[in-house]
Amino acid sequence: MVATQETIDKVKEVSQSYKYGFVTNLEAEKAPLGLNEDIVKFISKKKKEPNWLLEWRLKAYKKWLTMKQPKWAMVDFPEINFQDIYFYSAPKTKPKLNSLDEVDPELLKTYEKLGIPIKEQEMLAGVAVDYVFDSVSVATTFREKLEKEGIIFCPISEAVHNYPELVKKYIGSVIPVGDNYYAALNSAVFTDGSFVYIPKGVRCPMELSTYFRINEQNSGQFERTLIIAEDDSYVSYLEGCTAPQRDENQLHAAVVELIAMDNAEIKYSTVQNWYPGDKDGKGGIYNFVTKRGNCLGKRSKISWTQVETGSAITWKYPSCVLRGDESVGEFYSVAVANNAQQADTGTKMIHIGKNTKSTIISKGISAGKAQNTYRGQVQIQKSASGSRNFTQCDSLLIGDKCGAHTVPYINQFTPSARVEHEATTSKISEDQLFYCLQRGLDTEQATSLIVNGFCKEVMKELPMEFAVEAQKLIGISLEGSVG
Amino acid sequence: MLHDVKEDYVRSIKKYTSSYHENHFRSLASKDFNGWPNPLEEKWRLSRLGALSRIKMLPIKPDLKKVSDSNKKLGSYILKFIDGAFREDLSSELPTGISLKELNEKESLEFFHKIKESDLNNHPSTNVSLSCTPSIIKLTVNKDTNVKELIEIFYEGGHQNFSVHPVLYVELKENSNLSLIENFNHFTSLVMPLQLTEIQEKGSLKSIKIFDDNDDTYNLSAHCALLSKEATFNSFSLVKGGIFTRSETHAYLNGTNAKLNLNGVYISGKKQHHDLTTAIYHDVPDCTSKQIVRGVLGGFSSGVFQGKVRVAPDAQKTDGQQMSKAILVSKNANANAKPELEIYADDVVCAHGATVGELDDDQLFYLNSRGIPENKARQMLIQAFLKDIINDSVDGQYHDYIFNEAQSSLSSILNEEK
Repeated sequence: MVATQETIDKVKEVSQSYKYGFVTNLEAEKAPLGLNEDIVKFISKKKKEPNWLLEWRLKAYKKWLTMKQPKWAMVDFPEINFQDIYFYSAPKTKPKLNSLDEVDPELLKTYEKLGIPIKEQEMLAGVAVDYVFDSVSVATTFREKLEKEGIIFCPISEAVHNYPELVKKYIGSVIPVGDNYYAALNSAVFTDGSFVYIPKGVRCPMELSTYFRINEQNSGQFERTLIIAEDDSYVSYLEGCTAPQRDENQLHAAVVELIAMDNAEIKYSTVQNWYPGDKDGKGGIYNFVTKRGNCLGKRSKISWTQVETGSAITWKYPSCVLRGDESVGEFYSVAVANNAQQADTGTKMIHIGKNTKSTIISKGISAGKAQNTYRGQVQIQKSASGSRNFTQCDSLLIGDKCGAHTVPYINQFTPSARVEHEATTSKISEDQLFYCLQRGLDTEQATSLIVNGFCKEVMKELPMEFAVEAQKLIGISLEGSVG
Repeated sequence: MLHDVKEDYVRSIKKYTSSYHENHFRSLASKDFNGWPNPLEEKWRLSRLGALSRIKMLPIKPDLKKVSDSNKKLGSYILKFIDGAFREDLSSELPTGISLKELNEKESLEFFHKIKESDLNNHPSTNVSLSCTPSIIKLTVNKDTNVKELIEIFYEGGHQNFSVHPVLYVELKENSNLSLIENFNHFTSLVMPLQLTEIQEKGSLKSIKIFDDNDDTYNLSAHCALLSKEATFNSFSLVKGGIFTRSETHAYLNGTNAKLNLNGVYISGKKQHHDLTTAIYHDVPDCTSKQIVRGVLGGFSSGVFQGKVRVAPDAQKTDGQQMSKAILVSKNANANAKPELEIYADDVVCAHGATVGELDDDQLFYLNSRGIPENKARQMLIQAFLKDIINDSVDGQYHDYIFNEAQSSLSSILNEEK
């Protein structure tokens, strides 16, 4: 168990503080504070966007104005003042780069501090990374190699210019502009994000990866990711997030849309480690994200894997719409909430096609004063005969001040489908703890070990280099929660 | 136009209570009723009352001369409510140790406040039935009384385009026990039974409810149960009648070592909508709650199970279990489940499970391969599915009776599907 030892070392190394809590001193170009129609136009102009996209943004903005912030989640936070947020912030040394060598050295240093193993990844896995810094995509590595295969992996702002017909066809096709409050906001003001297109029959030869970081004070990050996998293709996409330590709350409202055609497979993994705020809940990121995948084609497959350890508030439900016959949706999630963190996360599996299958494995861990909620829906529509769902959500409580909640919805409209749901809530068992202590581990090590075991089913779904990081993160997140 | 019908009902409730002074429980209750819950309200999202707002209705004025049309008899003691009014003339004398009375105005106000403190405070049945009930009837079992005989309660009567409002208060004093069977057999547009059950220390109540109202009756039953230390409440509901029946039970475990079993079965066919909604509040340590719900759905029916278990911050050593299963026998039926856990204490064991689907293929195959035809095999498996829970939930001597009640509805559903 090398990784476990590593976890323990890492926990010691970073002790109490948030490892990613540094600020990079880069001059940034910002839009004026607040949000109005002019800001939307400003962003669009900055990005030299075509008219149709501006229209689309304005439509979203108008829709957003008529909508109300959703209140149904079990999270509690003061009203967000949308006029007190910078909706556009870009590093001034605006890079338009093709290789990492051309990137601002200070930025590179940031990534080093983040512990993104650029070099390591290049060697080990050959991961192509797209960095989104505040709102702008900075560099995409390995682009040429990918281009040879016909794969497009670039910032979405570039895709708008280079592949307008693809963007126009698919953007908003899975999550319409008015889908929900935060998705509408994102559609109006999104600044950048990643665009991935995998042509027919291509298996993406490497993992694609994006790192998101909010740097500028009071700025919101609104990235938009669009992944399209054509017939018989495969792609695995990783996403990591960090932010500096600040006293104020910062807003992150992303939208991710996935589209899988016949026999295509998309694997989307997230390690989310936004700044969670301090022990008393001061500061931290509000992570209000809409993620949805559309299994359009027959036998297509979309798999979401997430490890959520950061953010003051998480509001996130990666979903699958299983439209194609025999398509498959998967959701594997570990959500850790410590101190004053609040997480309301889960998934939706909407079965429309025949013989569709979905699996949901959710592991929630609450510690400190945190509240952790699983909220999920499984809907089997009338047309989805022969469909199958299995859901398991387990919650672990560490400490007597935290809460763990489970709110599943099951709606079935056809007799020939089967839905199974099970959930348990408990604390770390005395027996397991005793067993570990007896063998010389201290309480914290033992807890970390047991928690990692509790999450194993999800961890094994993560790509290798992410799994190691995720395991470390869980150790760090639970730091100080026992004893 | 539709809007007016709904408004009319609200207005008629207000008018009904307008002659009472403003602090009268009826006036207070009617003030809080402003129409049927909106489908956007989370609690009513799965069971919508839209159709109810299109029925022209008035609260019924009980006809005290009406005779009872039921002659089923299981218990030794019978209590009858017709048009929501208690009918002493049709009810039995009760054995010693049990008393029955009508609450006076002051006591009714106390009753009102007790209900209003619970989470049923805004349930339409709370507000409307407290406004319009003929009277609140209280059944008290004295301290240390062990009632061996079954008490059977019949709720009947009603009339098309009228709503019926029986309100019952059952109190079990320390160390007493009681078994009840309640039958709902209304012939009316809407019935809104409201019940408060208080079980004092070491008291034990066994309750069976059979919802078998007429084909186009709406039944919105609201039941609040308060359990003291070491109290036991075993409740079983069989929902089979009406066009729309929602049995909502909220149980508060207020004393340590209280035990609760809240089981139910719904059997739905045609265009019926059946809903078992429960909320269990573990407010103190060391309590146990168990819920098993099963449903069989045929025709164009829909079934709902919503169960919430809430464990308060200091309610350590709580054991809360929930299991719901639904079987769809028709391609036009649908089943919905929302088992919810809300847990604020760490040393607990809480779990829920929910399944929806068809009969198990392996079991069917087993029976088929032994020469039992498909239809017969299905019937056997569904019967077993229900028998299981009935045997678990009710006392031995009532197994057959309850099972036959279930069986009669089941047969008609399975026949429809042939």
